Amino acid sequence: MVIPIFLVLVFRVEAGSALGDARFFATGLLNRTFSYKEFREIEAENLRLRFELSQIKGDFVLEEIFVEKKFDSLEAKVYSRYPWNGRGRVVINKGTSHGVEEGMVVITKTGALFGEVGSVRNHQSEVISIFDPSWRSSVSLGESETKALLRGGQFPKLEFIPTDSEAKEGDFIKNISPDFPFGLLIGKVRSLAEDEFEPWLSADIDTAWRINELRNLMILVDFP
Amino acid sequence: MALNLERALIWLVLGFILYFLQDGRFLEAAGIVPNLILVFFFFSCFKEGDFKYGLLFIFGSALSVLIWAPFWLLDFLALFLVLMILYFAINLSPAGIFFNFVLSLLIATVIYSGVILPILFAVPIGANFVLGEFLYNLIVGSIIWAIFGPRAGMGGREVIR
Repeated sequence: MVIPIFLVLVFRVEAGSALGDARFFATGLLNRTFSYKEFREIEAENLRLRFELSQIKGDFVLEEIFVEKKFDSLEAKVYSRYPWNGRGRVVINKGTSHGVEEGMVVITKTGALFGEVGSVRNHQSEVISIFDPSWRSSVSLGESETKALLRGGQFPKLEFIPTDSEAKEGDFIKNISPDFPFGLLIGKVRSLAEDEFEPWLSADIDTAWRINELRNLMILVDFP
Repeated sequence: MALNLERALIWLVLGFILYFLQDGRFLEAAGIVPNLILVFFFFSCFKEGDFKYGLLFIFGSALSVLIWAPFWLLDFLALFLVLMILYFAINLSPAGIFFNFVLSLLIATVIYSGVILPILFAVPIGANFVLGEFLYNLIVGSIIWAIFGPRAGMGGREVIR
């Protein structure tokens, strides 16, 4: 009896602290003011604010796909790029053993469209990017939502922009091809050009990413 | 002609390493990479005066392709075929070996980047890119030739160490 009393007296500070921690833990568990749903909402709001801030600053933007977390994704590392000139392809470190399949959509970590999975092996996949000459997809430009065709290549271009459209330099380019999530960011219009022999405009673009700077990509595993 | 085992091993290892560098787009400038495999294949053949060294160089590169980038094996095989055929065709030319070396670089670049890639793999490459790649290959090839090439330099075929 004497010994426990003696111990409590000697270690009263430590005992008080431990009891206090236990009380906080117990009340934290029962406290209903915190909810996971609210946490997700705050997280989404934070991303949305960053999105708006980057628009104000004129940078490329975080995409709604991440704000709303619509799709399950798998992160992959970029091994290497096509070693010669001409093709815009990369190899990533995820393959069939990770659930990757041909045709899956690949995006950058900031949520911009990168490309799609071309061929797959056990632990590696080849991704065809919008810098590949074989790339063709439909896009929309700016708030006017003018439709155009994105043609891949070393310098991707927009084609078939109607001459009477409201498209202008600086317009954001977003995906409208059903092969990829709607509204996925691709880049910005750098300059529009008119060809006297064509009834359409074409445009040079600035992409939302540079192929030689990418180290990580995201594969959307449950799209469509 | 019997192979010098030491030299054969050097070309084999060099092929392995050079593809590794090619895979990392070594010396990329303004979006153009020199085709190191093409340059060093012809360099090995013309320097050694025997295509077997070039074959070993390509074999080393092929091993590297299989390890690092099996997705591009077909592209590599197409390049290899172009190089082999061209070497035998150009080697018949009576001109000096440096001239033949440069001619090989020009024709191989044009055929591979300007014809084979667009036709076989639907990769259209602009003429300016093909020209840019040739000039880059020529610069790299000339530097390599100046440093490690046969002492006869620009002229005859006779001096091969």
